[in-house]
Amino acid sequence: MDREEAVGRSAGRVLRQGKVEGAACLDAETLAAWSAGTLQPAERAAAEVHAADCSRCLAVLAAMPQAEPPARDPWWRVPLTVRWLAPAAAIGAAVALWVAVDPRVDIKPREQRPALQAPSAEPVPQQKPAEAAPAPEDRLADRIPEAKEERSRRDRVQASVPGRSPEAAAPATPAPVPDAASRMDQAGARSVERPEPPTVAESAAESARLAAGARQELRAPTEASLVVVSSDPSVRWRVRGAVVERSVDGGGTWETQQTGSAARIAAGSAPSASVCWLAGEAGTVLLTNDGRTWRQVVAPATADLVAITASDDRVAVVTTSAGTAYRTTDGGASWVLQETPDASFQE
Amino acid sequence: MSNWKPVDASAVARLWRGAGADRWDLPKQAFADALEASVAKAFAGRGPTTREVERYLSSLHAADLALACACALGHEGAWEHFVREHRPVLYRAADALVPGGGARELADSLYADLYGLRDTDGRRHSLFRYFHGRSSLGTWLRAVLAQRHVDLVRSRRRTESLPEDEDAVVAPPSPSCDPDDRRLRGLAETALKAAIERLASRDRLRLRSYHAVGLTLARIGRLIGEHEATVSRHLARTRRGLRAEVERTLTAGGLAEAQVARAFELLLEDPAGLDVEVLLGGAATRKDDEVGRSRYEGDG
Repeated sequence: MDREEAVGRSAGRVLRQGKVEGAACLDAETLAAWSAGTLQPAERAAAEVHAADCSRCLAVLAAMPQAEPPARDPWWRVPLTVRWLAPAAAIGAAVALWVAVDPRVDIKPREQRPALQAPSAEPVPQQKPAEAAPAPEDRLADRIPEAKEERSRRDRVQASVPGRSPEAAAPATPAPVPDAASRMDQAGARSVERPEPPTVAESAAESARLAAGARQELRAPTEASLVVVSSDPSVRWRVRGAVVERSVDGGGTWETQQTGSAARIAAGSAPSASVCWLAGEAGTVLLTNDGRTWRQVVAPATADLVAITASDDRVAVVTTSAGTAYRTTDGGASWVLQETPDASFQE
Repeated sequence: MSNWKPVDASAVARLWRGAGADRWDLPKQAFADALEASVAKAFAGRGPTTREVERYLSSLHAADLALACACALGHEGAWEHFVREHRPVLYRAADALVPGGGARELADSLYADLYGLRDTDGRRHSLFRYFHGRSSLGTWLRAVLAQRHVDLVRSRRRTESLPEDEDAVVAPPSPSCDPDDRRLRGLAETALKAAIERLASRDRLRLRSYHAVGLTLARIGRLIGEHEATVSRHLARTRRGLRAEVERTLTAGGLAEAQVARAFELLLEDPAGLDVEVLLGGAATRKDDEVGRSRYEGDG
């Protein structure tokens, strides 16, 4: 039993009874400015003193992020192919149009023409696109590993962030900068490997292929993996669909585990190195408390579960896709419907 | 404020132009009044230097302030612009705050106050007068909406037949019926409450924000200008201090070590203890980078 945990729990309950109410409260404009970080220092100090004893003002500050529009992913988090989809499609369309309407463009195999030729006054026979543009699978393949490598690099950077516990929370390594730098390096390396500039027809074909590939990628659901890191960062679980794997070396190697469930898992929570909860479609809740064997917990609902947070192998809260939350304090033997946000603020 | 003119005419003209206030035919004097009201509020109780005022003015969301001024004055074009740009945001924010229904009513009540009512003198009284441009208009609208939502919830709670006696809330029935346990628990809670009251306000703010309201470490850090790791360290230090204080108080009260240990166990057993999901209904589950939180990685 951790006495500090007991202190934290009880302090939360004691502090919910704010002493300052009503007229003395901070107005919405001040709260907005505080939230935006634009309060003057003296004003912020006064606001802090007030809020230290005011449940109402802190409740407003807590509610504000809920009302915020969902944040868009920064540009470096957008998949490479999607990022280039619009420009690639536009370039492809423009080049295709140019090729289609301009009879002066000389479309010949690359070996006959080392570089772009001067426009010819003589009409040239039409060639099939496949002949005109040698299939650029090699370059396309180059790009796919690059995207994969970028993702795996990002995985490594994220996995190396130690902030899984509040005590260990430390400034995370900014992922985008090395990514961008290494991308530039790779781009430079490619240009060295391929001194011959692409022909117009090749560019058109490649652009079209890239656009088509990106479209296909957008249509096909990407199999994302869910990684649940425990309090011991070396122990983590990875879920792809219904397949659960465990790593005890920080993600270096993975061992598949049998869960007995075929349901797709959507969320997980691992409060310790041996305890992990998983939740997913059709009310599926899985629990391991030895890190190896899984058991299916009685479902609190038949709806799809989208989130789960657990503090140990007995206490967990799951949230359905409809936003309903259920809590168990007995390892999933029973669940209690949680109060709605409306009923959550206590006097 | 009537004799105090911290914003000179050239600054007003510059901000007025920069804010595109001419689109709404906003009188420069009305904009100047809004700027002065903003400065007066930000530097209440002290006289800022010219440099401070300049820096402050340049940090304002001047375009939003001009729009709010024009709307408060009833300019039709400004109002149409506001409806087009901000009403959907308002509705989305209300939907997010009140997912179970009642969002539209909440947003519409605010909308009506923003439009304002004319009093017997024919003057329009609009909520926009309280916007001073220190945040974006969207942030301010969300704050107003959140405040109304919280007030609504709290007033609803008052009318419900819940235990209103403070003692009943502070000390909910212990799982244990043992009279000794009840006594120990009461002693521990009293000691804890006294220790919390002795905390510095910033320590109490961190503690309340994290354990009572459920703000994330990152958000607490943003509010008080600390890195979330610093917030975490301070929280841990505060809990350690509280623990030591409670132990000292209990021991000084004549309790044996076993009884002190039992008192802490009873605090921990408290079913109504730290429970962010109960407090915020699961909608505001903390989103720190904490133990056990999962993340998605698109590793295809």
